Amino acid sequence: MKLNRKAERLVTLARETVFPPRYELHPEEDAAQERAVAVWRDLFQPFGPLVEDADILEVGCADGRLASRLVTHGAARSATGVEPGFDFGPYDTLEGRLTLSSDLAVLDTLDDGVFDLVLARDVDTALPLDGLERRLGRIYELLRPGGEAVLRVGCFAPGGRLGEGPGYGLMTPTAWAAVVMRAGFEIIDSAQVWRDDRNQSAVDIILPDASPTERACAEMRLHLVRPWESWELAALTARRSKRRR
Amino acid sequence: MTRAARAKTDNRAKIDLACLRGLAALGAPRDARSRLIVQAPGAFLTEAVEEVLGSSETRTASFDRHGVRDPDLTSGHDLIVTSGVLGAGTIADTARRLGAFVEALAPGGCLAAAIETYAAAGANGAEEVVLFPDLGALGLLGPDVEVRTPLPPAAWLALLSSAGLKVKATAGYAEEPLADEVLDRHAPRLAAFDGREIATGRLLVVAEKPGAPT
Repeated sequence: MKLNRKAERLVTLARETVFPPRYELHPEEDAAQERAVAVWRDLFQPFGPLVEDADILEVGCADGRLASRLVTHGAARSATGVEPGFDFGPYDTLEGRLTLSSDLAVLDTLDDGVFDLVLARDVDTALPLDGLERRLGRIYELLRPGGEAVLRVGCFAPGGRLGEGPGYGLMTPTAWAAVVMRAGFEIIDSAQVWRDDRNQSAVDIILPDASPTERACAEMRLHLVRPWESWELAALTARRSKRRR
Repeated sequence: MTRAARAKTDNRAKIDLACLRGLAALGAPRDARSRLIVQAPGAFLTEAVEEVLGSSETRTASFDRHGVRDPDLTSGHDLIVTSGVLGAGTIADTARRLGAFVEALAPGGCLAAAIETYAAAGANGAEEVVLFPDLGALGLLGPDVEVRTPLPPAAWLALLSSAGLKVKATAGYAEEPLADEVLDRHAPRLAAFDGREIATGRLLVVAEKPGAPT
């Protein structure tokens, strides 16, 4: 009998080696996971943000798969994803480490300084123009001192409606720099994606006096830091001095 | 009126007159049948318009940059002249206000605007406005900078285009560069901005609403 069981196990192993068992993942699920991985690899990873043991907020998280993977594969401590209007349905909260919400208003209910990293793959889609400055300011408040943000933002494309589409129909690279710096961020790195020739000609007509680089940019990826405020440094120094005594 | 207040008033009047002369040189029409002047309290735009563009049927509307309510605008105007009004508040507020201006224009009508762009000087010059936008947003660089819409000139032109206007002429683009020593000393911080965009303070724009005049 023992021999039969051993033989049976050997045959099963051989069969699984030659004919691997079909997993229950649907091919569409595989594709969705691949897309999430591609977003991370193409948009965020080039800036090398720190993920391990980080509390991460993803604004405009689409289906939440990237936020989930940051916890399961990236060793993030927690991930919160917000996608306005998306029905996440029941999902695995990964023992409370993953939170997904379909309402931007959830950002106003969180405490200040609870995230180490904020990701946004498409700011001008996730955040409406109405309240843009306030929401960027809120993202700043949600970050801990030294926290990072990696945002993709679109720049003005001709033919669109005001308030919609890339850059809300008006934002330029310098306008984005001004807006994020007004929110308190420091820009530590940026990357620009150039327009195609067809769009470029239309933009050149509308912005003839702008510099070629300002006109040529279709989208930007911004790597921002939430700096230590002087009063926070002073409080930290005072605490350290107290501890030494 | 104290001497300081009179000097401030005279200065304001000179600025408004200079703006109007600039807008007239760009093609703001002198023969517009119906004009609307939208100005901030204490401005002298009406007098400047009369002097530079001559007399015509004129309405005025006042807009407090620090207030919360936009003025109700009458419609069907061939010319709207404005200074110091468009670029106040959030970007969404400014877009909405511009939309109201476009609605108030008759087809073929003209908007002649003096706009304070992102890098326009504050109480202590333009350098601190550009270098420390967060302080500007907190009101530490004066009330005017606090409420200023943070749009550089290219974004303004994009906004006007997206609002349905065709820009006919501009003046002031890249004509107010920061001092060389500021550019050198703060080069890493200023690298976030395009050089031509932060070399523009006040932008004069004449733009037309599509359509045949009635």
